[in-house]
Amino acid sequence: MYESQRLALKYFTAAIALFGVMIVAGLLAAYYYIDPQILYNVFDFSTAKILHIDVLIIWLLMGFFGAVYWFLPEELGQETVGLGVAKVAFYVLCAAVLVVAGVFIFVQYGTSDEFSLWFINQGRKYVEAPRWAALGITAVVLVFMYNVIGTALKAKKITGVVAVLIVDLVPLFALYLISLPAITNMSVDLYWWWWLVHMWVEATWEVLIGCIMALALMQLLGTSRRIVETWLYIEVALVLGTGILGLGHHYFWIGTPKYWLSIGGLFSAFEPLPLLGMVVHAVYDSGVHRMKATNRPAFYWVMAEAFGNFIGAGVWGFMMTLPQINLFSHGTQWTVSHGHFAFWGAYGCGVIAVVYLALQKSRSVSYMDGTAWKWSFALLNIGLVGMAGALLVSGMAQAFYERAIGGSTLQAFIQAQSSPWFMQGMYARFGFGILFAVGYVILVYNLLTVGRREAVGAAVPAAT
Amino acid sequence: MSSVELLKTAGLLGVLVLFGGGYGVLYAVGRLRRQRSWLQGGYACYAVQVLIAGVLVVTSPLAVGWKLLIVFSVFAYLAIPPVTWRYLERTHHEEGEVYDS
Repeated sequence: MYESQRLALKYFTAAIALFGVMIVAGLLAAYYYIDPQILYNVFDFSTAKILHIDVLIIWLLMGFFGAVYWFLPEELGQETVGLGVAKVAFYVLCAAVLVVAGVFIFVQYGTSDEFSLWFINQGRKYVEAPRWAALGITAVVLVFMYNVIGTALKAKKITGVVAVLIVDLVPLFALYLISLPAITNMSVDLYWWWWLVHMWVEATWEVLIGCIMALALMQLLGTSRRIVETWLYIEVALVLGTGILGLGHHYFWIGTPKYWLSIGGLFSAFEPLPLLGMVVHAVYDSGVHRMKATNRPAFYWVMAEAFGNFIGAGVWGFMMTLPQINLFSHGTQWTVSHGHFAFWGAYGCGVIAVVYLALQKSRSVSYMDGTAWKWSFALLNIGLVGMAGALLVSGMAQAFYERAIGGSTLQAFIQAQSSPWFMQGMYARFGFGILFAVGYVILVYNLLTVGRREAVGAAVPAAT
Repeated sequence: MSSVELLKTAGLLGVLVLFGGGYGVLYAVGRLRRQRSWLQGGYACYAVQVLIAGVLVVTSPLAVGWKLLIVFSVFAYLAIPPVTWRYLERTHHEEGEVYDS
């Protein structure tokens, strides 16, 4: 095993641990809707929510980094360059996450001055991390870029997947710089903030996970490089073609010119189309391999990624992306429902698949299967679909009562929040959240034990 | 847009894409298993998708431009599964990875 892959396992461990922190914070944030008095004046809802969504970004990012550190040396036949600094960056990132989480939990907020920006909270959703930590994340991404580009240069080799990855790292780094300035004009601030949030999630991350899935498919199914790279180019072109200007669907109501209504609506309406192609591709691959591979959990999580991405981003997204609908739905639990489903489908499932692939090799397991992963797979996916469905009901109640009937007044907001439809959705969301958490516990148990206690040396079905 | 029209239109837009996905999945399974019943199921999904598009065009309060977009996208949904499948078969065939049902 390459040294880079040992670092990857550390990243995966941190990612899965943070996945758990995200779930705990999410459950707490969900419970505030059921009992708003809980932890009153001790631990605010906003802090729980910040932890939930910021840790979401960090665990996925760590999963992506781990995946690249895992596949890169095998892809280029060369140990990753600059591993010493990469290891330091890993520990710096972990320490920064711990310190920032501690500040969020125990300090929570500060006064409106530069000190708060630098050391407590920058105050912009998803990038609340104080400025020192944001600079730290920037440095870690730079180290990551150096590792990837340096390895390709030293190996004197570049593959299609690595080329796409390197090109993608430039905007991945550059866009994060938007988290640093504190712009006082809210429209201008949101304009650029969406560049960061949307272009990461619906452009650079899509390309990154596309590269990771391409590498994973070659290892998992033995798919030929030419096939994988051809599809990577096509899917990246389609995703970027629709995703970049799909940015416009965030510009509908923030004070930007009216033409964004047309641009945003048009391009985001196209976004489900490449996802449909991916679903067809997933069915083809599952048929070619007759739903069998030497790593069944990884195979099923890859399949879940294709379907989850289509339903979460495609179906849920299209429901609310046209401006006439979005006028009522934006900023409600409807959006939250879409966010949960899309993040899970597009990224969460992919990261879990890669973790299983890495464990198979690191534990020298010829055939990976068992029972526990099936329980975690089922509970996590049922829990997630249940949460997304429940949030959709609550969000539709908000759009109906608060926006369409109540005219978006404060009184209508309060009334909508106490409507039975909204509350029942919140109860159901919490229940499915518990189910999701149980699935997570089984996932952790399985990741710790799979290949150590079961299926080692079991008969290997032929992966055709 | 009234409150009822809002929920009806949004629901139909979601179901429109869902049936497009259903068509894609059933079409692919049908081609994979070479069974007409799956393919017919796929085409039935597509027919429902066309029907939903028709309902949206006729009854929803969406602007004309969005209605045209829905009509265009329904044609795109029709083409994507067979085009993707053909290209998949070709690339896999060229690489010697042929699915044999």
